Amino acid sequence: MTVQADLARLIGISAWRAGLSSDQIERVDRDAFTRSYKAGATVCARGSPSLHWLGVIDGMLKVDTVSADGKSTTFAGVPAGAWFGEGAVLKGEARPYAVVAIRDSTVAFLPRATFLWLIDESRPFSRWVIDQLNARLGHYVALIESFRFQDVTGRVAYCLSELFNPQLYPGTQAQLAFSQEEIGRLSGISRQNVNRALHDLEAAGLVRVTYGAIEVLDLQGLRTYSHKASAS
Amino acid sequence: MSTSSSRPDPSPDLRAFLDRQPWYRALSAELRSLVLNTVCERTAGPGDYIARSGEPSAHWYGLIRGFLQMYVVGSDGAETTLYCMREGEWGGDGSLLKRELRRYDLRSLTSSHLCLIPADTFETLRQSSIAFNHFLCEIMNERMGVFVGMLEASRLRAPEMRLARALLMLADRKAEGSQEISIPQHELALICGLSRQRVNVAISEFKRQGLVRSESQKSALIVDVPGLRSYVISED
Repeated sequence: MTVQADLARLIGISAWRAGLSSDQIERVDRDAFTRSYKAGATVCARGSPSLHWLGVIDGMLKVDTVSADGKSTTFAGVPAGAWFGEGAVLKGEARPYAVVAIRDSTVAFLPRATFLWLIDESRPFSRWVIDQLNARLGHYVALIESFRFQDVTGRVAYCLSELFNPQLYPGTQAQLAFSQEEIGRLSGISRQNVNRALHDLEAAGLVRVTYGAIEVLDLQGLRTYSHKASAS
Repeated sequence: MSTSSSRPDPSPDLRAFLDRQPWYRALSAELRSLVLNTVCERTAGPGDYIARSGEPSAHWYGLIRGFLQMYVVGSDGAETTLYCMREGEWGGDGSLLKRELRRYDLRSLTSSHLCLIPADTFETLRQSSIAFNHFLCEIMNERMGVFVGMLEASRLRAPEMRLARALLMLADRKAEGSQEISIPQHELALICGLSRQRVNVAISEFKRQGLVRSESQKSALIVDVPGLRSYVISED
């Protein structure tokens, strides 16, 4: 019962719901379901069919990949309030990445057929999905730019500030339950370097580092820092 | 932007290009004539700017011929290419959709021939045609795969993987055989985010594996596209 209420709450606060008709909302409510995961559990294995569009009701997920030699990198940390996976669902391809719970999480699943139906039936929804894809594209381009141009502190600043991207992650809380190791995977740098970078950002008054978590004190400052490091 | 009455009729090349576009064929007769009445075209030489960062987005670009590069200059003056548009591709939709100033410069890498759809026409198509919106989803999704692949290669893989990704970015996505890719090697290095020397080493390695060859007189690389696709998958 409470899980149903949590699902209804997530759908209720999601920006894409605003443009739907009552029939469409009814079908979303009927088709969506939830599952809970312990920290470290796999939500979707890499290579599994993309049968659902995913939303995070509670907790934190990551989207990552592990290479044949065991190295892993995280493409995205997904905080509560966010929906993701639309790319793979649209293509109808096997998931090119794994989805793993970073901490205990509750995940909403919207079946692919419902998602595709909404795109065909609802112009506002289709527009929202295009904006979502566009925001993600912008994010990945900027990640490559940041990888090529910024020092480690700039890269960590960028990755932390992007967890608050208003289109992609509208519900992020200032307290981020990320270990330094997770931050390292998210920004593609070693743990030692993450430690140094966080120290720099803390000294600049932008974040506070506590055990197993990072608190963002000055989001605008973090954004400015990550732009300043690469702008010409 | 202006559509004066003296605007020349679309050239046969431009018309043929539009006729090959699935989104264009799906339009109503009315919307098709809107496109034909507002579309412009231009040619550009190597190094010519198509659009500048910090400026409003005036067009959606279709590439009839050539390569365009989306690039950025860092604080130390170094330049890197974030994306290359190839013949048949569309671009510039990102800034148009966000209604924001362009974030990156767009420059012609080779001589090129472009189809320019004005922002207003783009917006009308977006509001009126489901097929057009599907097409936008599709091309954005495809580009996302390219960026994620490059990011993964940069973080986790040997430089050879970045070269493989860069060559696949430049090659026809549907190519079934070998393809000649003719761009200067230092440009290839900018797309990979590697030094020219390191790209050379990677090219030699691909030549040894039979994935790439070159004819001695020309700078062009002849790329085994299906072979490179298998390389990218097998190294995964």
